[in-house]
Amino acid sequence: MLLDKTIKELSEGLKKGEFTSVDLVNECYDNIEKYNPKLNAFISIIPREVALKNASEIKLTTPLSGLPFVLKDCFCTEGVKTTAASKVLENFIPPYSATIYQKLINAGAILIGKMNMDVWGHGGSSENTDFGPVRNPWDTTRVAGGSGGGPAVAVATRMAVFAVGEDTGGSIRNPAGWTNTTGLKVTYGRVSRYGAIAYASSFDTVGPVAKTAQDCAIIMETIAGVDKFDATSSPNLVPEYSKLLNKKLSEITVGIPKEFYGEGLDPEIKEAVLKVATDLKNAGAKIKEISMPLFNLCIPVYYLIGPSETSSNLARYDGIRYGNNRDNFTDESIRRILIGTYALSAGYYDAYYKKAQQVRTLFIEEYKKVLSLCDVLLQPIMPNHPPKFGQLLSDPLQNLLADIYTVSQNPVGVPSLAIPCGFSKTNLPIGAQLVGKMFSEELLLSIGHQYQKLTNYHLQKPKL
Amino acid sequence: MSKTIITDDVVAKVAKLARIDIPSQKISLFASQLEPILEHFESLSKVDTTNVAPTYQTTGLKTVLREDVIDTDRMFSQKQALSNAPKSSNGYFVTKATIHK
Repeated sequence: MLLDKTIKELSEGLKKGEFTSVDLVNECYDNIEKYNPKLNAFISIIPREVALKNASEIKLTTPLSGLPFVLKDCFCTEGVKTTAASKVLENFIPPYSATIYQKLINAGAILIGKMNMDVWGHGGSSENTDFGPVRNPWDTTRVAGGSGGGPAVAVATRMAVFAVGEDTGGSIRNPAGWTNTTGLKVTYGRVSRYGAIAYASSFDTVGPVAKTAQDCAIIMETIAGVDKFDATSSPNLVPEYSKLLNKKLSEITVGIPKEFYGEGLDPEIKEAVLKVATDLKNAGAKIKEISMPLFNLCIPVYYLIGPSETSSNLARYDGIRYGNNRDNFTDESIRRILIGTYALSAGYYDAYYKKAQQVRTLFIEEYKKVLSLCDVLLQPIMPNHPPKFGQLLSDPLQNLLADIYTVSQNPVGVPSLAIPCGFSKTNLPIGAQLVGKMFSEELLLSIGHQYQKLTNYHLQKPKL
Repeated sequence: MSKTIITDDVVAKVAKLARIDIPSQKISLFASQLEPILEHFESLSKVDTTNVAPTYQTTGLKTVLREDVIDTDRMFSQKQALSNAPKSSNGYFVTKATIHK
């Protein structure tokens, strides 16, 4: 299958004329027809003939030219329905495009679909959606992870070459781990958020989901960079990530924060994630155990600030200027709006919202400290294998606690790369994350790339 | 912080502030779900944050300004601005009456 190839291989193949963009588009749509009815990964599918017409006219100017991709349905696409998986926006046709979409189109990539997700990003299982849950291709009785379940499933099942998602507290990394794909949560501000439907503005980041770290590096070269339409985007120069993938592992120290491996972590997952350290050590890296004593406080920090910001962001949906009215929020979104409104209200602001922002400062200091003792932190992504449908939704507190490994990074702003690192006895994929200093994407992608040269977990596909 | 008690009245009040109509039979359900969540958050109260400044954003950027010019690239026509409005009339959004005689 052509879609098994990396972006580099596909780009070279297109240039050499070994196959055409039309071939790639057709293969995607054949897979969509075969798999999507079982998986429900798409909210909108661009008509095949539209994508084929684009493909037949494409000029090969960049490494992404002629490659079919999908977007999480939280990015505005001019003229193409954009819902954030909510009934509130079920008929919303944006009159403008997100910066990352415009950049990808300018690079010659071909949009083929808008992907299912937890509504507004509110969830870690892609069950909290008004468009029906996304199913995990490794076991369709289980969730795909979230909030970006749709983008990850599309890449895992070769319904697209790559995807762009959004990560506010794990929404790229969690589904990457549970579907055996590679995803990058970027440093806050590294990629423009313009035209991305906001969940929690000071946590939201936009990043790639793909088959390999090298693919992510190539996508980053196109989507990253300052944007005059997003005042929080960083003016730091964008490195040529794909040319910087061979930093010597012998010069790298990998930190193991012991609190991330305590009670509550599935033993199979623990073993697989720690095996990454062993593999990197055998390849020359140094390993160091470190401590992050604040760890357990990341849930209250994240789930006070995130909902506070989301209650404010979702206040714009009035059913007057666009979209349906506020009766269309799901129970999970209502809970988050209520928590946020409560935390921001008079009398509770200091004890909840401000306190959380102060502890956030302590988290920033803690990450700074441990990342001065090592170059990257190796952490699990999810404490458990993907659950069966309904398990998480039935207990709202447990639903939040399941995010413990992915919510400390966003309040701090640091980047994290999710990579496949093994399988359970029951053949469910396991992922690990490498977390680095602000703007260390280059290093994370380099370690990820070399790890993927040593291992073949990322090459495995679900059998559907 | 004292022990949190999320009563039905608190949920109703907060829902009203957030402009969300929760059916009365669901108010208690939300109250019972939010109680353990806010109780879990009480762990923050044990952290000493004396003299710790709150962090509201992590960009490291300060006062990002743009030129004070009209950006016509991003201007909507009236038709575009109204294109998603559930109800419009004579080039205006139609809202519910907010003042009643």
